[in-house]
Amino acid sequence: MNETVVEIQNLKTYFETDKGFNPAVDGVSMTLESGRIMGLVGESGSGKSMTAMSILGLIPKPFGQILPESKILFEGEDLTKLSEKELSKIRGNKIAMIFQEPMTSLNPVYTVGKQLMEPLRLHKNLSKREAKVLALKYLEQVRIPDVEKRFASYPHQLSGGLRQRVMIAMALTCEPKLIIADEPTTALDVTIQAQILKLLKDIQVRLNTAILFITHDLGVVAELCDDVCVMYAGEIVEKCDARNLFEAPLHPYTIGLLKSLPKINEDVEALYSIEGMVPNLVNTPVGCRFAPRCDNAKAICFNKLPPRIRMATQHEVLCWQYDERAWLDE
Amino acid sequence: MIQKTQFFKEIALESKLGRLTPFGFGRKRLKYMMSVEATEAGKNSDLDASKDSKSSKSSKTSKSSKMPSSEQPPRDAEDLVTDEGFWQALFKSIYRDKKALVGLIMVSLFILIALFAPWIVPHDPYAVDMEKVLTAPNKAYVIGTDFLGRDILSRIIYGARISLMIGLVPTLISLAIGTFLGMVSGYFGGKVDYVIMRLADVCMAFPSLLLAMVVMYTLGASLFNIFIALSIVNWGSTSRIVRAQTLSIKEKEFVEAARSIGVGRFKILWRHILPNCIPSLIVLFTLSVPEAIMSEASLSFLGVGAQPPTPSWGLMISRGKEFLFSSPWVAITPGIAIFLVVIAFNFIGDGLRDALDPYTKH
Amino acid sequence: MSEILLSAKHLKKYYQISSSTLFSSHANRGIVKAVDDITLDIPRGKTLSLVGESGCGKSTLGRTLINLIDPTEGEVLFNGKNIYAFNAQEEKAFRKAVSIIFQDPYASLNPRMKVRDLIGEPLLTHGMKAKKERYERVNELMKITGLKAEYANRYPHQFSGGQRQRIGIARALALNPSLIVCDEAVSALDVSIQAQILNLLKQLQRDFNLTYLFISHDLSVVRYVSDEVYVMYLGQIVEAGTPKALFEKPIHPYTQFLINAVPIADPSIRDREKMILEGDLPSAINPPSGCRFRTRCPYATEICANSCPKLITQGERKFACHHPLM
Repeated sequence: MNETVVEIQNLKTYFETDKGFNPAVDGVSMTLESGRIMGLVGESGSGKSMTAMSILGLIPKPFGQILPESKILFEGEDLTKLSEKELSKIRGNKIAMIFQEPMTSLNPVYTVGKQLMEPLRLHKNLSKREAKVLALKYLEQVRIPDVEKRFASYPHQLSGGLRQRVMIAMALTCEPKLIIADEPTTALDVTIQAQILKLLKDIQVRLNTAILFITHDLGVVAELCDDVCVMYAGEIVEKCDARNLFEAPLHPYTIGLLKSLPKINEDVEALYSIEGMVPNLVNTPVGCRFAPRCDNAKAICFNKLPPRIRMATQHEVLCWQYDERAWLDE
Repeated sequence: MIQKTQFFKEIALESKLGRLTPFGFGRKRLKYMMSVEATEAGKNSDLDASKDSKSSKSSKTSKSSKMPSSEQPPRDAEDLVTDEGFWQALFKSIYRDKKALVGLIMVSLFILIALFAPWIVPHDPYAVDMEKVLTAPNKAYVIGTDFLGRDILSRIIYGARISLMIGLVPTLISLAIGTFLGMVSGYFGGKVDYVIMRLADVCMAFPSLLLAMVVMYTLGASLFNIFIALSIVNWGSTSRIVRAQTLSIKEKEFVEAARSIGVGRFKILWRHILPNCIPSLIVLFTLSVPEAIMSEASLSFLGVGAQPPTPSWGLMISRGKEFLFSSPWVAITPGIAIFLVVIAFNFIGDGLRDALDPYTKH
Repeated sequence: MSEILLSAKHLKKYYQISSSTLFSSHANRGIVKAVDDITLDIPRGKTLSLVGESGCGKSTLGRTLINLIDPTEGEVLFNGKNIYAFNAQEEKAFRKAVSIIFQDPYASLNPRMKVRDLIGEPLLTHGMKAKKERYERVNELMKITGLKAEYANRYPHQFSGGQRQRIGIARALALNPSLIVCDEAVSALDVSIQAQILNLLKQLQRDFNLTYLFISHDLSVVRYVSDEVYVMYLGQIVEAGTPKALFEKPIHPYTQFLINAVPIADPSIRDREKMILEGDLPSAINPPSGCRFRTRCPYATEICANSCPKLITQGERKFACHHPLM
């Protein structure tokens, strides 16, 4: 029942900067399946948002380029090769996006209802009345209380949580195959975040869509996602299902990240911390990008790019530690 | 549905490492790199090897060669910072903006001409020669003579000095007054704000040229009085802009941080608010200079500015208009001079505004 | 319990709100009770945390406690003296003794000042005029906070978020303060950097016997750093206690919901019984009568609407609820 919705192969998105090229996304491959939530975790600057932007073809063109060997397959078509016009048919229709700050994507001068009805009338050729009935239905689906009143509200009159619900309703209107959620709960309080996560899970179960959930919060991943990709400096360093990631993490970065997380359900005497910082991608370190911060780094880690190793069937890691060749030098 | 600002925020986030190039630069290099990568990847089917070729490429682009040795690994792998300061970055982006570069060259030329006027003029600009009245352009008088037989080219060159002075002095004075009052008004608020802003309103309520004329009539027409008139007229709008800036900077956390350690109020204005207004002030300055030059020309044209025989461009047009059809060079050439200088300053102003806008958001 | 460094007594901060739109002439008047009758003691050398969701008044309280915002009522005693009655000299000494670390390391550093001058500013303001002496102290502070001395000539935009926060900390330490208010000091940072900064803060506390007032919305971080936690809701304290007691056995229903809502990085307990709070924070302009939490509280009864519960102290714990969970 889980069919492949989007397959990303070797995605490379490079940006030009004053000082050279910034490989913001460098060789990312992943498969998004219907009925599954893929978590894309990483710190700021790891390229997780740029991956999403690349899928939607929203890379600002003069600065950013998707390199020709990249492939993003969606319904048999390569999204990287489509024209802007063809893309805009898919974007916001078959693939919907939810942003961190809904205020930037909602137009402040129109009511919520008007903004919801517009795509319905446009894509589905509905009359005003039909569109309103449908829009109200979507608002109810995202459990907005007092729908009639909210239908006539302007975005600024809503709280952050409600706005995010409206955004989700808007994403649903086009019955998308894939929903890309870029840090949708980061700007919200924890109690509201819990509500939104529950809503997303319900919707995903009911509509059997694929969701690409981008976040920096490992806790949210653990609560929500089925599969996880951990990104570091433009690369996916570890990919597996969520349970595996937390129970048996393989990549030193993931291990460090999990150890540096303060816990609410236990007392921690001293937190582990990964020293150093995310590398400057313009001057990418030769070899493993994490090597300068890695406690187990060996000579080879600084010399050669690490291999992508598939441990169990679904557990991939980008690290020399798990390759016997790394031990031959010793 | 998806707004531009959102992307740009994202981009800034993703490539914190440096500002993105305003378009055009390095495109060729990207294409080159892409082709290199494609061919090398084709040669080496092995995954590791193809990645190695990429890493050699990345070391090519990197300035500091990261030593791939087994010694102590460099902990601080991100030495991402350049020591590029504000002015360097500013000059760089001006240099890239062709229009602004043209403006900069023209303005530099204008300033040089004004500074070295006595050494480059072909004739004495004040020398009356009634035998050569209204001579058409020829070899000796490149753009002819006026109704008193004076060389127009020499007069235009001397006129540059006046225009430069008028452009700089009153603008600087009004900028200083406007900045001070604007900052005080914005930072202190309350009654002080009210009084200063009503004063600014009064100044801005009249058309500036009209107000300048009133001042000139009262004080009498002379070059020095033009300074005073233009300074009084223009501070209002500056103070408005600076006040708005101050209001937004005042809410920034670093101002609160300064207050929390007990920094005095005027120290905060001087140390924290003023430096952050500088970008707008620079733009405002370059855009006010041509305005002042125009105002002087207008006032002189109307007869309340510079008085004959001062070689002011406005005055020259005014005097030349009687001969517009018989000897057009008398009025038109100083007009062209005004046009060129004003447009050059505007080019720089626009360029600076473009250059500084993303920078301040950085 | 150790000596009390700072204590607030019935502190209140109300804001007058008047809003009128273009077409409705009658102004909508109201009072926001951002901080409403708060009494608390900060013991010397400890970390006291204020947690709550946005809009609960924790930041306003933090700023009122160090006199960056004037209170509407109440007093704050610092070493036993009322800070709102200080003369100019005492005020200056107080400014030296307290400092604040801000949330946003991008907004809290003046972009036009060099690091050396940023860290040196408090020193200069408090009389260290000699350049040499000042720069020496700046170098020392940079070393303490883990910044390289050669960065002294750089501007803030040339640093990453974590490094900027270190600059902020160096600035806060410059005058050897006894109390540092950390206002969401690690909220804007990435996880790996957050751990570095938290450990740095703990280290500094041990080395310099600092007292922290730690304001945060992140309960996990609060549990890690605090000696005592105060939970706020709409301007009031609803519960207080040691982190272990509070997080393991919450007494106030709001605390319980709050803890329940925090995602836990362990998928094996993903399907645990979770209590999810419905609805949004009520408007602060017209808060509910009686207990402010009653509109969202599943245990609310009539008494909750009629009377505002008092903060009761029981041993190490404090709570304000008519139906405590015990």
